[in-house]
Amino acid sequence: MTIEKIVNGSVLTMNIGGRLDTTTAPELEAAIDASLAGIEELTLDLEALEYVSSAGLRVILKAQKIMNAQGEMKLIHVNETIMEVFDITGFVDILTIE
Amino acid sequence: MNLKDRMIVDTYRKRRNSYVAMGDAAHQRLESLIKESGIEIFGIEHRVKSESSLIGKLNLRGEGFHKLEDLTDILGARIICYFADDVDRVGKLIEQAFDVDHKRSKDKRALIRVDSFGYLSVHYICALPHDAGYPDDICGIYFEIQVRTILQHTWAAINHDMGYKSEFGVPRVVGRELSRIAGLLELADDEFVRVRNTMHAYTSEIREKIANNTAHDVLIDTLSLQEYVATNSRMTEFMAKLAEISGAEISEISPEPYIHQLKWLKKQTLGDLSQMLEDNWELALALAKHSLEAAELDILSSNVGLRFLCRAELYNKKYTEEQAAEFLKMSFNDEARAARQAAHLFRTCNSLTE
Repeated sequence: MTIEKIVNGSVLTMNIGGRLDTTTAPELEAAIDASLAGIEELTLDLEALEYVSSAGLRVILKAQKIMNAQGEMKLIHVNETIMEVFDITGFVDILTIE
Repeated sequence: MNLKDRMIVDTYRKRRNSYVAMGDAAHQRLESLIKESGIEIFGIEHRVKSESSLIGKLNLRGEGFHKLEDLTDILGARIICYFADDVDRVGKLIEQAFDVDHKRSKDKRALIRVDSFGYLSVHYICALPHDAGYPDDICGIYFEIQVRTILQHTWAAINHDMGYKSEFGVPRVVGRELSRIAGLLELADDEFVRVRNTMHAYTSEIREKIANNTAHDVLIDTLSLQEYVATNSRMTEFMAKLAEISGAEISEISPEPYIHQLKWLKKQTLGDLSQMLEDNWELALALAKHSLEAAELDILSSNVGLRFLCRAELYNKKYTEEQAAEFLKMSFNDEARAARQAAHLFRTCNSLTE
């Protein structure tokens, strides 16, 4: 999995690529934990993300919870496979997907 | 500046870092305290008084202070609550977790005259306790914690911004206007408490009706829908079956997005929803198994039951594919995606019901 961070003041974009599964989810969680202080707008660009498991979904939901308290979060360039995961689990309702 | 005041400033310079450390420790202590209590608050803030502000205060009122410790606002913290009755609840927590100097603490609400309106806040003069694991140099030094509501804070902040730190010197015409606004905000604070209590009473009433199976005529809103999903026995049975498919845990989220979707499907009451559950139980469960069995997803939202029930309703009640796409656009906000999902849904339902 690859994570690229672009910070512009209180705006953070994270480009996430590869597979977000049980082995790589802790890496994304650590990156999010280390990066969200002072961030008011978080964008997760999932264009290069091929797969997300429950573990990855939990990390995304954790980020959403943090950003609910301090700003907003959106997901962009979500492919059909990953959209299906958000949809069938019912979490599409609380994620902002553009 | 006289010698006494110069010595106070000198002591402040030497001890400033201790006050900064004390501020951080007090802030964290307050955060943990509030989090454990479950009381929702607007925020906690703190600051260490600047040297220039200290000098200003000594110049104005220095005769009252003989040493730095006489000034209890070198460190100031503030807890801003949403509701007026939470101010006292938070106050009790402060009394449990800090050493409080009751003689110097002030409840401005009790001090204000019965026939006037103005600054309302509770000021606790506190110190970090010696037996809580903090370094000795930051214990036993008194500082101020103010507790107020968000509306009281708004009034105080604007008052302060306009240059009026106390009632003395406020022009009469301005003073009267500020009093009127303080009165208005005090009423608003009381009304917010009343509204919150009304909401709690409504939630209890709905819960009881659902438990007694007398909730058929209850209109669907965020509260009633949340209670229904969490406590209606047939709905919780349905959710348990969904969770069983992949051994998933259910994560509670607000069902608010489904208010609009259920209204689209002409479901107005919890009775309508119960009927929808019974009408679509089999197909909804089959759709869920079809989607979730192979996916190995061990976390589902508490809205997942409503999701599959709505989709089963679209098929069973013979909505057209175009209508289904219009419905699904409420979830996806993307016409093309909604159309694809509608086509996929109908294909899947056809295969499951053959």
